[in-house]
Amino acid sequence: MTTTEQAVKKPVKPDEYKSGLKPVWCPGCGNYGVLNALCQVYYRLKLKPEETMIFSGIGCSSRITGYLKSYGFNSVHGRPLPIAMGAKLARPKINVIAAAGDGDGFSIGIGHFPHACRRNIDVTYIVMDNYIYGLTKGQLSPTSPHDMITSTSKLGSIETPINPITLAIGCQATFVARAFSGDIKHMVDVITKGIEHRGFSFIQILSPCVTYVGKEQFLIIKKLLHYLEDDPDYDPSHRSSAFQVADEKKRISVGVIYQKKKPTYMDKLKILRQNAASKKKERLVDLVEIFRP
Amino acid sequence: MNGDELNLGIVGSGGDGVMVCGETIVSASALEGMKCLMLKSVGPQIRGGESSCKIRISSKKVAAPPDKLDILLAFNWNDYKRFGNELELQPEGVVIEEGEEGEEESERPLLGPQPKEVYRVPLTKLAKNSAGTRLARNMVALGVMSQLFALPDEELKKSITKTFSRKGTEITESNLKAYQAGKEYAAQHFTEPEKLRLHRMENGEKRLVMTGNDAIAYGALLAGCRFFAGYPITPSSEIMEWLSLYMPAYGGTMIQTEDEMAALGMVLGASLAGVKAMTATSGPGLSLMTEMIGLAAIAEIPCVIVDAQRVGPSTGIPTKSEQSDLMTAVYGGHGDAPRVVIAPADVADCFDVMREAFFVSEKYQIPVIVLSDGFIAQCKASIHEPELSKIRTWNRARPRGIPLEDYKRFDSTTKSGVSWISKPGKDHYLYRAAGIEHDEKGNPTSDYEMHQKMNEKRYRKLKYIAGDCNFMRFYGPEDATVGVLGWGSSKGPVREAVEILNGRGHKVRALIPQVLFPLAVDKVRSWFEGLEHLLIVELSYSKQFLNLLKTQIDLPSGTTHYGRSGARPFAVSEMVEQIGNLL
Repeated sequence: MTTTEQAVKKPVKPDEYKSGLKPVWCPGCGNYGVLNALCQVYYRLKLKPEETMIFSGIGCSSRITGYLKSYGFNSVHGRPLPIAMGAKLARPKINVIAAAGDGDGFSIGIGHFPHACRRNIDVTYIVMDNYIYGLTKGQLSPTSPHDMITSTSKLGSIETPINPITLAIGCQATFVARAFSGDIKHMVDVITKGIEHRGFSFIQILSPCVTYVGKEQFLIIKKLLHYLEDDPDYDPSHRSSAFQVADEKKRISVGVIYQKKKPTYMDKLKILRQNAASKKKERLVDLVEIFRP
Repeated sequence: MNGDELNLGIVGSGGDGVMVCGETIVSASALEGMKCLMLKSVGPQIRGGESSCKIRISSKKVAAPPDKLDILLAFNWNDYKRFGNELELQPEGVVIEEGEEGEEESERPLLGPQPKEVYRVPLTKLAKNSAGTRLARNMVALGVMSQLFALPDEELKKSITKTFSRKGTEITESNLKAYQAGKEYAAQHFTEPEKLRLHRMENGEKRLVMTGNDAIAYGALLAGCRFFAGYPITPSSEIMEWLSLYMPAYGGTMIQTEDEMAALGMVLGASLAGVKAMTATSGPGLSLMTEMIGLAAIAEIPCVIVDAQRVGPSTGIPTKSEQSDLMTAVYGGHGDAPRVVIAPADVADCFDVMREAFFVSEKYQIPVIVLSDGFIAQCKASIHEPELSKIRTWNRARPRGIPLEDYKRFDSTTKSGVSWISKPGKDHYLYRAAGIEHDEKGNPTSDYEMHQKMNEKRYRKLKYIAGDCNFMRFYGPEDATVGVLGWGSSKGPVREAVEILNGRGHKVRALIPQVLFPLAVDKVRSWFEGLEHLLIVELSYSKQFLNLLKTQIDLPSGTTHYGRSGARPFAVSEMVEQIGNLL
């Protein structure tokens, strides 16, 4: 039994979802917007801190687990997805969020991404994409644009960046969205939809690095924004339109790009369990029968 | 050979039914209550190709793998060439081969001694005549062996019936006919070799048949494991295959991940969420997991990692066994990352080891590595039914009775180093785990004093674990002055060699510690007392066990070492010779 002093006080405003720890982020960092948006989302969905777990990897973005009032795990570089999926499978009633950066998610840990998409485990995956390695002071990222000058591409990048949105849609993700950390209200709507979505939800958040890329990024992105919600003809269940939107060069579409209803991994696992349970030996020790010659 | 035991080898091509033939003998032996071990060996082909197995049957103890053969059944001599040095006959050994009387005998590419006797049997013809198909050659051969070597007839027939029952009565009947045809042919054409007649058991109790991988998988379920994530790898894959069938029925999850990092990652997530979780792999996978083992160590997350060792480094020899992952298990990964390493010594032992592994892991919030090996993993053995209801569960110590803000997940002041761990979804004591060094509340820190304090906390557990879980095996008389120290599956040959030498009037004792790290130093030290010679044996070229021992305990003067590369298990005769050098 939990006494009052031993129960987490129910947050009565978004800010009460903050842990109180002071972020290490640079002033003006896009990640502050993501943190504020997440608090508002938690508040809107009335998530209980004691029933919520957030997993992150390594990078500026991954520090976010420390700033939220919930269970958290700041793990190792590139691996928040498998860890989060393990937690969700083990305890399906817990709200599970995975947070990563572009280095985490699209470089060292990209091997986990297609599998998270196709498995459709009910985890919300938020990638704060600043197209640079901020924590290690400005190296090339897999989402850095072609020609970008960074500390490891001093003559300009000659690599083609990854498009995480087309990748996710191609890998059978059931919820693919993009948001911009300069528009908190919209971000809150998108993340809320992501958490409400049954199955794996992937949200790329453009979250500029003011130190190693520059604060003008906020203005550049803002000018290119195209809100899919404002387009009455856009149908996010239409896969080929989603690919088209994801491939746009002249504008940046934000909002829910693709969404599809599909049974989750747990839905299917439950059926497996039910079928198997009907034939099982009630006592585990009786399973020894299968080893009798 | 006095009939107490038979060592039997079978070699052939895909379609010859080598394995079915071998497994039928193992099942029959178990039904009869005999001790039996079967080792498989296959060629590089994915399917088909050459395959062989070696079986050791005895009415007495069988601890070591079969070595030199009493009997070799060769369906095809071309296939023998690949396994030659694994399938040598002992000087009194005999051969069964395909052939007709009067037909020219083909050359036998035998390595080692030539057969004392060759039994030529028209296997194909008898199979076609009795069962209507050449596929039943293996059953004909089984009948021949049954007749010649006094294998348990009724039990063999029962095993054949069980093996083929899934395929319908017709197929079962035709296989039984082929078996009978072989038996009759042998009775009519051959004299039974007196020295190779197996002594049968009287009132033997029925035994179970399983591999080490079976025992580990079932043992994990019994220990309360309800989450498994893994990536297929020889020779451990059967653990996840077994769990994919049985885990869901008991409300658990078995998931095949994209790689070994994801496998252990999922395990850590599941464990953090409050469920007992494990993974299983082999050397190459263990290498990939070292990052996650470090994470489990610093974040103090209970988890069990099974490593069925194979020959390394790199891809090495996937299908053969070695004891060369020991250092990676104990020290693998960067930083100071405490973990526990426990090694099963045989198939039945896997039940005890899994129970202890989960107990230690849950109680001390520490990763536990179970170091099995290819021999234990793949060896099909008839075993005495273990005590399945024996449990040693531990409920994680969860915070209670203190204000929320006072909860320190990583309280560094506890005596044993173990601190309260709260359960998400149940407890309101929120905390953050981290791979980054952290303070007592889990907040990141780069302070050297805190790092020192946290290392002390995490390493303090080892001292208590060494006192709480330190099972080891002792063999031979206590007053012997010659001692042998080995680990894992070396136990079999070491134990038998010690028994043989003591039977010859020598005094030799052996110690097989099972918790290899942290070693119960006091117990081992007191076993050292009175020793004039100590021999350390292992299947590792670079002496990993010797070196690991040296880091934990002072070895007595007069310690010698016998180690070699794996890929071939220790033979009892080899151990007798090595220990004999000290007598």
